[in-house]
Amino acid sequence: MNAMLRMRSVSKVYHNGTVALSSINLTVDKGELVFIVGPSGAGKSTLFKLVNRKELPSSGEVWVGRKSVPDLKKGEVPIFRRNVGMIYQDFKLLSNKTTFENIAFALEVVEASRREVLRQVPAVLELVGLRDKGKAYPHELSGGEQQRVSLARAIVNRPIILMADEPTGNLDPDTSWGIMDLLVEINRRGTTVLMATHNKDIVNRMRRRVIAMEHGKIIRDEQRGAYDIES
Amino acid sequence: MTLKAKTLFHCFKEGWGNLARNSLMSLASIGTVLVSLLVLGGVSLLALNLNHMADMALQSTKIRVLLKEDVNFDATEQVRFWLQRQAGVESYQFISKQEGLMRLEGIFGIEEGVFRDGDEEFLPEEFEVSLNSDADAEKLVTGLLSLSSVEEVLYGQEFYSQVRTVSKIAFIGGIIVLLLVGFATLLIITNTIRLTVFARRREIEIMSLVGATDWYIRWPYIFEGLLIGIIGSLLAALLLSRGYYFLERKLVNVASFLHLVTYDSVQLHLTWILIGVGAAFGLIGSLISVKRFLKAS
Repeated sequence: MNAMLRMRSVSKVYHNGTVALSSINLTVDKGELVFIVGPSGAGKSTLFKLVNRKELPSSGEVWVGRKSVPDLKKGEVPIFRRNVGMIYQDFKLLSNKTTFENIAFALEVVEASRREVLRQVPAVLELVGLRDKGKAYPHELSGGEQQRVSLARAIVNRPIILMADEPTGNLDPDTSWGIMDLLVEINRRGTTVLMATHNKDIVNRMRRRVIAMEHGKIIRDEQRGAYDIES
Repeated sequence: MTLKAKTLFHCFKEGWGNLARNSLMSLASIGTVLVSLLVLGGVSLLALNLNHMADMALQSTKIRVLLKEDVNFDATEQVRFWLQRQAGVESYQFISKQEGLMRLEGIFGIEEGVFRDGDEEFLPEEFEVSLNSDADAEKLVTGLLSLSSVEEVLYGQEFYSQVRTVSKIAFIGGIIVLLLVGFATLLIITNTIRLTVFARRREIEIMSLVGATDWYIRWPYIFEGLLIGIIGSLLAALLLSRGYYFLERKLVNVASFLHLVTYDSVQLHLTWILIGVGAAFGLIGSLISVKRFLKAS
């Protein structure tokens, strides 16, 4: 068994009655790069929230590696989240901290030593191509650069799985490809990557596994797939 | 919940930063802690002084220890021996039945023929006890009453118990006021920290996203509350000490018969109590906030 993520008959109904996910069955193997596509409201973000335990499923099982996510005790959740990196469309950077500090922040909150901070942060900055931008504040960076910082922060704790929720949603095509190349590189180094996206060009040219969702259900799951059904 | 020293220092720094960032609400919170603790300190000082005055009044009068009828020599010696061992006893004098009668004659006169031979047999033997300034009069009276040969102990009970009652009422009244002001204090501290949590909700969200533990997120807000409480209590201690010093000096001139407790003798205890109560206010306020609002954010 090489599964990194397993979902069995997962449903999620919010308190207001909205059915966000309905009977989802999904297995993602270690080292895969998977695109999750579908219109807004299809359930992509909810799926991510169930994986990083921001939400609990109404029914069904969610496993990351050998951990049953809904069964995690409250105290285990922070430790678990260090293994699940997240990036978002709006970057979620702290405007009063520099690039270096934003990334170091992810290490500091898990009580890493200063030595580790000084070793890890420059290494991920180098990886995302922002070696010279350590002292810059988010407002001094372009959108693409901000997303790179966000990516660096997500991987600095060496997660086993990385989830990107519309990471290129706010970026122009060229910059989007820059981010995609980075995700491919991170995936090549062994991290399982799940990317929710509306970017047809990227999905169609990458030819990776595509999971299409609609109304909280998986309507298509194909290897080397495209954004839309190909006739 | 275990945190490294470095992390604890970081959380303390963050807590201090929160306090400065949210300066107006922080000042309001510190102000209410200050008012609450001034009430607590003022009431404590008032009660202490009333008790002290009652003790002083008791010390200036003599205590009469009336022995039971027909007590033998050994029983009298038992009381004498007991009195000798008490640190609070300045001096004592045994008054026999005859001496008792002579005293009565001294008071009422003998020429009227009020007293007859043999009257002394109706009088009890007694000890007349003077206390020194270290005496705990109440404890001494209780001790005397527990001796088998003692019938009764006469002292200014009425005055003493009246002053004690007033002091108790003052203290209870003060505690009620304190509870009311304390409630307002908690409310303001809770809201101050709620504002900080609101202002930093994005940071909190990211912290939780990258795997910070709940306690790592909570500590800065707990420190913020503690700092509010401690700063308020230190200001209250300072104001009380200055105010009391001023009052003491004024009263020495205008009402020298009042024996006030010297502030030096209570300063240490009072300061610690104020800091303790202030810190508790801050801690409870921040815990309420953190529990209610951190989860929501």
